[in-house]
Amino acid sequence: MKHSITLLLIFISSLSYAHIGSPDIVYQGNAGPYPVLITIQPPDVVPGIAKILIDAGSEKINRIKIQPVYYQYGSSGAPKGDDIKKVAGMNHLYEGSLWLMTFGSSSVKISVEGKKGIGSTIVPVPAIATATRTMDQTTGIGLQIMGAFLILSLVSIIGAAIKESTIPHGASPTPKGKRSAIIVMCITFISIVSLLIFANNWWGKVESDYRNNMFKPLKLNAQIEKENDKSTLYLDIVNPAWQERKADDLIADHGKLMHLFLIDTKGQQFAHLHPVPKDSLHFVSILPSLNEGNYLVFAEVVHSNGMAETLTDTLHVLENINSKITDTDDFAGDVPLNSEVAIVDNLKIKANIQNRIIAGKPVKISFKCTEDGNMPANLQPYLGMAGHAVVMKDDASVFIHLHPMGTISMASQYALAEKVDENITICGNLSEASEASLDTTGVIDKKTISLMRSNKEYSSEIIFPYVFPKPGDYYIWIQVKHKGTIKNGKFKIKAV
Amino acid sequence: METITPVFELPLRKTEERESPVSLYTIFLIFGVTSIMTGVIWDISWHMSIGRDSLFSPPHLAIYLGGLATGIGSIIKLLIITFSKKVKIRNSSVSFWGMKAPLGTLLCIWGAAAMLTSAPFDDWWHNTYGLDVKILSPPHALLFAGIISILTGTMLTVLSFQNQREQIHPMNNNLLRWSFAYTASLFLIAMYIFIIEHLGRTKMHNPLFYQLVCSVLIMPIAATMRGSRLSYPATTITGFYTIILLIQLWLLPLIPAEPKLAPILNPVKHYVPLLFPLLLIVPGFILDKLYKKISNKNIFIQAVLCGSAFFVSVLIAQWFFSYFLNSPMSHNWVFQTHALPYYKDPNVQHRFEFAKFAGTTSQYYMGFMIALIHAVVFSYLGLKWGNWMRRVQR
Repeated sequence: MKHSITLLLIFISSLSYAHIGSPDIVYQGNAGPYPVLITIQPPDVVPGIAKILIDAGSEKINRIKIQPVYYQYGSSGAPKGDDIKKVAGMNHLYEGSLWLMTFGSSSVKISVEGKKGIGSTIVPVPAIATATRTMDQTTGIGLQIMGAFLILSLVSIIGAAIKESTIPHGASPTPKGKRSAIIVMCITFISIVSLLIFANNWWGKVESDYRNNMFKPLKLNAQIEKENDKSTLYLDIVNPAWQERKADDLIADHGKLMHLFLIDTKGQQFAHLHPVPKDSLHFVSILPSLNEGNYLVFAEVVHSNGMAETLTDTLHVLENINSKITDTDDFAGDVPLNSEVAIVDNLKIKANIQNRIIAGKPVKISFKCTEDGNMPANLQPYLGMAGHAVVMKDDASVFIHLHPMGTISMASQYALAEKVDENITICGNLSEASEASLDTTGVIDKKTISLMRSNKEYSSEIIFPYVFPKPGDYYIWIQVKHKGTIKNGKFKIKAV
Repeated sequence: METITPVFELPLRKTEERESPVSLYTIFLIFGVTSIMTGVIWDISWHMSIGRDSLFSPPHLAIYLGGLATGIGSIIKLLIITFSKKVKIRNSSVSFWGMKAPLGTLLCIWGAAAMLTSAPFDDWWHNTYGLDVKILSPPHALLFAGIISILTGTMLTVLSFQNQREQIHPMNNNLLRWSFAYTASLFLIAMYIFIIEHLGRTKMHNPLFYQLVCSVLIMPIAATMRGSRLSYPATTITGFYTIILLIQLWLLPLIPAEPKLAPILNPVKHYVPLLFPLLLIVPGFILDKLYKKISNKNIFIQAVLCGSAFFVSVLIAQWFFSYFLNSPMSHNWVFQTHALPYYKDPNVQHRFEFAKFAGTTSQYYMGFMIALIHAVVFSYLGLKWGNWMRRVQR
């Protein structure tokens, strides 16, 4: 049974891609020896321009270059990198524009040049159309006034041409000339109106073609079936025709083909599961403990070309479920809302959220994990990450899964990095072992893969960079692995 | 043949005889339309070679500079004439909403206003449907209407002087005659560019190619042939058309340029020029020869003969020439058929093969018949327009 919020989800999912309601891309990582914080506003129409802001920190930087790289064409199909400018009065901030001309999985390669040499990194930027715009009133009225002036003046000019242009200087127009002028003016007016009707149909065709090319996310059908004592969640992916996008080309991100989040509409229950594929379009997950209720379903997947998507649906759980976890990376259960500190067993998660969060501006949300009397907690990597965070707006119009490196998918970055024919720095998995098995091939320099966290972040603090897309109340769930179990905290954040 | 009413008091005063037939205002307009058309050709080449542009890219500046020059110059002209106390000057104009100005001046003002309106419309269009990837879009159509209006206004301004002086001082009018032929050729180039996306060499065996040429291009050729006072007007105008397009064809590839947009499928190192010009000089010459023989006949007969001659000569010239254009022999600096925008894959199949016609065989042949009908109808309209242009005096 579907809940009434399905309508909202259908609406928001039609406007979103990888990150629901949260288009801005934030990436925190390294470009060679230089730490960078990159914020990208992708275009919402294609061809369009992405706006890029790079915080190069305190390092001495000479120049930063940006270059668009499409998965399909690689760096050989990319133009030369462009120097971007410093933001006036800000020594460490650089801003630039990236032109994305065709639909598809794209990225920006960022090269930083300074005293320590040149270092590069790559950030996925999907080139997809998601916006439908109407004309604002001022432009509309202005164009209508000019349109009326142009029509009426053209009719008058044509009338004057017929009436007077061929008569000798000083002579007056003849009655016949005047009559002809009126007839021709009428014909001109009718012709212009006909042309406008034609132009209107033409415009309608452009609008309809544009809407057909707009991004259509994969659809998800989620259903629960009870077999013996187990409740199994079946997830079917349906591919609506959009460009030449495939649905059966998913690749693993942090080792999982799908990251599934279930959030009940009352805000108490939270689950982060990893369904396994039955085949390329059908996934299943044995549901662990979940209470009866209505749930929002968010499934994150990454295509082989680096395009990440979040699929949405709703789910009605008819009765309380209480089964054992089948995948140790899964979590499901109650996560109560905390004001500042969440205490889970002997782990203390303290949210350090700045007082005034401004929508549209990059912020860093930090969580300090301690144990045994404020000693830095000995956290373990969870799916190759120091921690995971999920941000959802109270009306579910924003949903995003964050990592300390920001909003991007590592699998996306990896896929696009392979299309660059020189050494670049990307985020690698944070493995349990000190010698990470990163399995990079060819182009990516294993030595310069930046790990998720430095020792400092590992021991005490996990920082998530993010841009809240609009003012309002948000919930944030933080997930860490401690003493072999997944521990969660939930906090409320207000953006203005 | 129409008679031309002399409008100057005869004989001209000595001072008027020595006056240059081309006024400063006319020179201003000719400079404006040259700037506009240079900008238009440059802009298309820019989009094929560099790609990334802005409101203030050099080709856009050339277009808007030309538009502003003709627009502002014409507004000044309108104000001077409207507020002039000299009856003779006011009498040389037409009336418009209580004001006075020559017809060409009004069209130039209208064209500049249309160009100005297209700018915010185009900006909104880009924000809503994406940046330019096509020549044809509603805001570009409005910009094009503005450019056409300015070109027509400039032609009429030159014509009004030419027509007034022609019978009085036919020996001193060459500058006016050539000025008209030049502006007429720019007009022809503008019409050609409007449909250029359908005029590629692989489409030259397709009826649509001939239907477009026999409507959009025959009309300005027939009209300006009648408007001109040169001995071989259509040959001259189509000759100018050919020379201007050859200049851009040979000059642009000498200027370095590199694509600044992804994806780059063809990494060009210089500007990519527009197509090799159509062989319009062939029907142009035939029309000149033919019209001398049929100038005293009824306009319907003139249209049937001119239209048929145009259709047949274009078909023969372009049909056979296209074999050469699609052959490796034309892949050189003279014909530039190997030139390709940065966003086109040079290894694509069928690049030098004729595009297949989508319809049936009967539709294919019917398409050529329609092109012939177009040629007759549009040459009639062109001749009608040309005959009117011959009489324009204000």
